[in-house]
Amino acid sequence: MKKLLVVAIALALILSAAACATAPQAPVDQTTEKPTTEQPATQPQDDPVRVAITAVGYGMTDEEFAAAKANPPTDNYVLAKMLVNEWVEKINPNIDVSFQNWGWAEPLDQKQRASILSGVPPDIVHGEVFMPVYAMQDILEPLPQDIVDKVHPNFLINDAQGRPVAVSPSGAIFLLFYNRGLLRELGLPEDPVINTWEDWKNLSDQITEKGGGNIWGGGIPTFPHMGGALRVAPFIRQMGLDFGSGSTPTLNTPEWKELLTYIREMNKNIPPGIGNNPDEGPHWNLWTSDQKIVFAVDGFWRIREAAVNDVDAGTMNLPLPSGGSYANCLVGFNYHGVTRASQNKEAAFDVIRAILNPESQLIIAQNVGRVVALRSILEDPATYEQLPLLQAGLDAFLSYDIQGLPVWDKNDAQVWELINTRVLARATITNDPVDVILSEAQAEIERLLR
Amino acid sequence: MSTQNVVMSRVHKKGRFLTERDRRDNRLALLNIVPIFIWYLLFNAVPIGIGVYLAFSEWNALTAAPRFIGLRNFENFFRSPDYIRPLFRQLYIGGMAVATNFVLSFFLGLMLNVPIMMKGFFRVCDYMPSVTAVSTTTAVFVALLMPFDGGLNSMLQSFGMSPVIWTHSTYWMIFWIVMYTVWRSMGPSAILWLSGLQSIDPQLYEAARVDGASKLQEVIHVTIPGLRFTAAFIVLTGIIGMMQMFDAVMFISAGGPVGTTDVIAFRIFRDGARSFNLGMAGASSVIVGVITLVFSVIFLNLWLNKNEKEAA
Repeated sequence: MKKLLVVAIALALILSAAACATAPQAPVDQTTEKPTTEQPATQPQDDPVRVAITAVGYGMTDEEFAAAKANPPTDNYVLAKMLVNEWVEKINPNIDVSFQNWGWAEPLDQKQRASILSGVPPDIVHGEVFMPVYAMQDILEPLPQDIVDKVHPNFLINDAQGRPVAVSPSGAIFLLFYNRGLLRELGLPEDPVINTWEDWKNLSDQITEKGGGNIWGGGIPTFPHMGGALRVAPFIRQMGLDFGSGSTPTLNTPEWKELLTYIREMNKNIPPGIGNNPDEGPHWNLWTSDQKIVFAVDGFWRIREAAVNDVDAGTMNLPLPSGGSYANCLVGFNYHGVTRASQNKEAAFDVIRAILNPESQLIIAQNVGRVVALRSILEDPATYEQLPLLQAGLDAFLSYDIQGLPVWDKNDAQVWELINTRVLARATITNDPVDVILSEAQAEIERLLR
Repeated sequence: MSTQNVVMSRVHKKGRFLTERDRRDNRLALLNIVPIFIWYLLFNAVPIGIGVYLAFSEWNALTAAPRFIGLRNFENFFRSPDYIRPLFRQLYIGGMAVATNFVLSFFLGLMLNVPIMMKGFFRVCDYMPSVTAVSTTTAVFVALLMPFDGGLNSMLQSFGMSPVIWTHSTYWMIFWIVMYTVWRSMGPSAILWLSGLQSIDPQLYEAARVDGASKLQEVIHVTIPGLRFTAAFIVLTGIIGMMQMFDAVMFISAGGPVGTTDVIAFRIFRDGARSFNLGMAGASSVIVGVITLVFSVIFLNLWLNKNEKEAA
């Protein structure tokens, strides 16, 4: 009896350990004559071969799609997603696409890298800040010309050979948002004219002084993560410079000194500890729901947030430094690319074509607060007629070649962490001399890139 | 050789003079051990081996295979302030947490040993923090520490004091990290102290009272010596925990302000899971593992006397 009990326990332990492992799904090989698991053993001649595609990205999972069919969504963002699934069926009825939600940011990057390493990656991968790294590592297949031709170049990222390998269905750039209601309350013009950094600083200082600790002018946030770098990027680019790229940082320059000094001075117009908090949430709550900050640098989606929270908002392009010219930074992009290891590349590109379908694109453009990739929608003046707040940013988006954040040759994430914490956040948390901050960071980044 | 010595040597030879029952018992014992051994091999030994291999490689988990680079990662570790400083911070922030926990949990254990009504309820309350999710409880801490309209600052302002920008102060961030760690660790440590206290022979206390010892003298001469082994266990597990502490840092301070509370365990996490600099993550893990082992061995050798070492 004792022996049987011990054997039973041992078997249970082994089986439960084995049950924790999952076998990778074998890719469907459509070139072979052998039937797949989706097909019957004998295939009638006139039935086309069905292809299974695994797509991590913008579309509904099987469960979501079934639920949406039963109860059609009223939320525009969800409706746009549902249309992607429907368009897959329209473009290529022989595709069985499984959209999967692997999260966002780091968890998504980890899972995708693990799947790439396993040798059985999904057919389509997606993401934002790490997709340029994937592109440079040559793991994405170049996009077909018809996709490249029908989208605006700002929505594409290229590989090391300059070939477009991933496309985002939508995105944004930064605008300067302001709260007209608070300006009215303080007896100031509710649609101020702000052309230069100096104009902005003067008005923001005035608001903070009049606000008496209850209303703040606002400045350039320096969150100690990518949210900080993204918002600072347009301002340094206005001066004709950038963070650097590849193996060359360009921090130790007079332009960066001027910008950091400006950021430090403007930080006095944000409640202490908010503009450089690791959590962005309190800053946005203070602009949106609490309505205590007048000016905010944010992407187009803030238009929708303002509407939802009854903020009487205005927008304008970011002010320029003396002698500066217009510049911005891409943000909120969701790049999708087909992996080189995909066994069904053409079918995967059909799924990307479905992601870029005109119905979803129009809904996103008019309701979600993003600019969209399809030129036929983006460049049609009627698309954004109902969104006057977007107009200033839209004109700039169409007129300029705008890039995302630069990619470093090695230790990309570590370099950005250094910039976010020991340059940007340090400038507003400490009173360390700006040239010391910049020179130390420059030396440290050069060492990391060696 | 005498007959007795021959018999004794035969008894000690493997498989000789073992009855069928002995062999059956041995097989049963092996059957018990094999599953956990397989589990340990798959989920501990193999990952440790891979980590050690990666320590000598350069790899970002996108290229086909790691590239062997010898000792470059270790060289980088000892030359870069980005690794040496976090290592020292791990030791002193962790050390403060271990020392504070050691003292506070001891007094808590003494209090839990007092026979009062609902002592079971109080013991459960003390243990609860250790079973809660770190992400949830640190979110509460962070909400309290919000510089604008946070709970603590609102309370300070209600007393007419100025709010404190906790996230801008290295001192305060270390303080809250240590406080949080102690708050979570105190319960289990107090339970260990409690079990140690209850294992001390009551006759020793009677003998001390007969000899005219005061309560304080009982604690010094009976209680504390009787708790040496418990104390060793608490400190040893504290050292191991201290060298792995990163979740409190990640959620409360994120290594800030400006990296001044960044600890090596958080650095390893970021290298591995965010930067995909797996070689440096592996090398740093090897170094931290060796340091932990050395500390543990030194501590045990210093703390325990010969008899206790043998018992351990």
